[in-house]
Amino acid sequence: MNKLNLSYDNIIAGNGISISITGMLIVFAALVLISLFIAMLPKLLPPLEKLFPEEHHHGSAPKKEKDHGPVLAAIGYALYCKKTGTLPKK
Amino acid sequence: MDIFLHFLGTTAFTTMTMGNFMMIIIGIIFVTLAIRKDYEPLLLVPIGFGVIVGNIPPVPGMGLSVYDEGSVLSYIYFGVSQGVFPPLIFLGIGAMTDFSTMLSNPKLVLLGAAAQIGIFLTLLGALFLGFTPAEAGAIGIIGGADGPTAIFLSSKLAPHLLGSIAIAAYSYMALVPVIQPPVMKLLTTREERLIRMAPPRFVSQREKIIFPIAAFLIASLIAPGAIVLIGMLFFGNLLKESCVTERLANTARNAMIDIVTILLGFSVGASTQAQAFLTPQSLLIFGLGALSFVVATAGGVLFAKGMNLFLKDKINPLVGAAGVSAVPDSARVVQAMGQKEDPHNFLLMHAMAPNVAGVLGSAIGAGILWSVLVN
Repeated sequence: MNKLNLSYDNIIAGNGISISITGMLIVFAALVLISLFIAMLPKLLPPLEKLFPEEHHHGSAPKKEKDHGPVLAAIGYALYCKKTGTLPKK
Repeated sequence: MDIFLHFLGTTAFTTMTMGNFMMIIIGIIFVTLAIRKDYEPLLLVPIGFGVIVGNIPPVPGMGLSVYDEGSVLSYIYFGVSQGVFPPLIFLGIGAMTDFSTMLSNPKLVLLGAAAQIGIFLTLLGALFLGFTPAEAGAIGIIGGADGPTAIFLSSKLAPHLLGSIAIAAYSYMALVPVIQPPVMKLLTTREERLIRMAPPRFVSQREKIIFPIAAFLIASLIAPGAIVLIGMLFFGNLLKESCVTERLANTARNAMIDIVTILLGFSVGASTQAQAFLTPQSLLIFGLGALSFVVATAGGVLFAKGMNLFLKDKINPLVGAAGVSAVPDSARVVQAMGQKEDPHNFLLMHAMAPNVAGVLGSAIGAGILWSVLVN
């Protein structure tokens, strides 16, 4: 810019309107595609989970120990019955 | 005695101009605003002090200023003039950004796109005033409300305007809490400001890991000019979300971004020597910059209102103002405005979605302008 020169012709000469419209459309297109991808992501996850189960991932939470609660309860009940003499006979 | 008189001739008192004096006052105002008003202190303190340093007139023959070849400041300024610092800042931003709210409500991404109208209308305004297309593109990016992006693009398209554009972008980013609220209030009714939005859904770690890779591919394939900025942003985010590079993510979001911010802020400030900075062009750039922030804010708010015409779950239109990518300041402004009307309405999480989408939008916009206007 050498000096102030207010004119609509500058916009036309610099392809201002086409740059602005095209630029805005491209920004929208990119973000709409990203938005659509995000919306579809929860649907893409279940098949991915079958291929790569989460526990195989490096950063996933440590594998949860198997719950032995019912077995422990059964052993505890059996020991209690034996101690009190109420163990069912064959 | 001769030596003493010669030394007196080299002191800055003899070469100081009124312009330098005014710029030093501006630098002191920046530092004061940062300390007393808490306006973007991490940026305004380095920039403000840099302005003061840059306006001490250099001694002829001594390489002191950012423009003197071989001077220490010129080496620091190299990171600005060649666009090295902005991508590094994006790396740090990526490593500290949580995209969960955006992933949980993808329609809010569109608000980040709508606010980019500020970039393209400002470009038209700059062309109208007689700037060349490349200069107009560099000025227009101020409307993206993203300092590193503005510096990056102006270093590529209009290096001679870099100082003015950087100072305008960062000043207005610091003034987001002042510029945005009147526009937001003007364009919304009280009922709209009271709208409560549904809480965001839970986002799995796997989604957070896939997102940066997929979004980078989408954005960079559409606008390859944005590879440098978007690539670093998503690389930083992948470091954070992968959970296996915590040390790297920590460095990127703490030590590295702090070092780069110090060097960038200080050297940008030091580049504002009155002789190069106090020009009618700078005044026009400042005027256009203010306009661009207003237009961007209005664009986001009005687009949110437009979306509400078609949506069952309404969006609080204040959230649209966060589409400008001044992270997280514009999201904080939305939260403050919302709570002024209803103290129990928490909009911050919702506003972060268009806010980070705005970062993507402005980087993509910069990539487009760079590709179109580089020649």
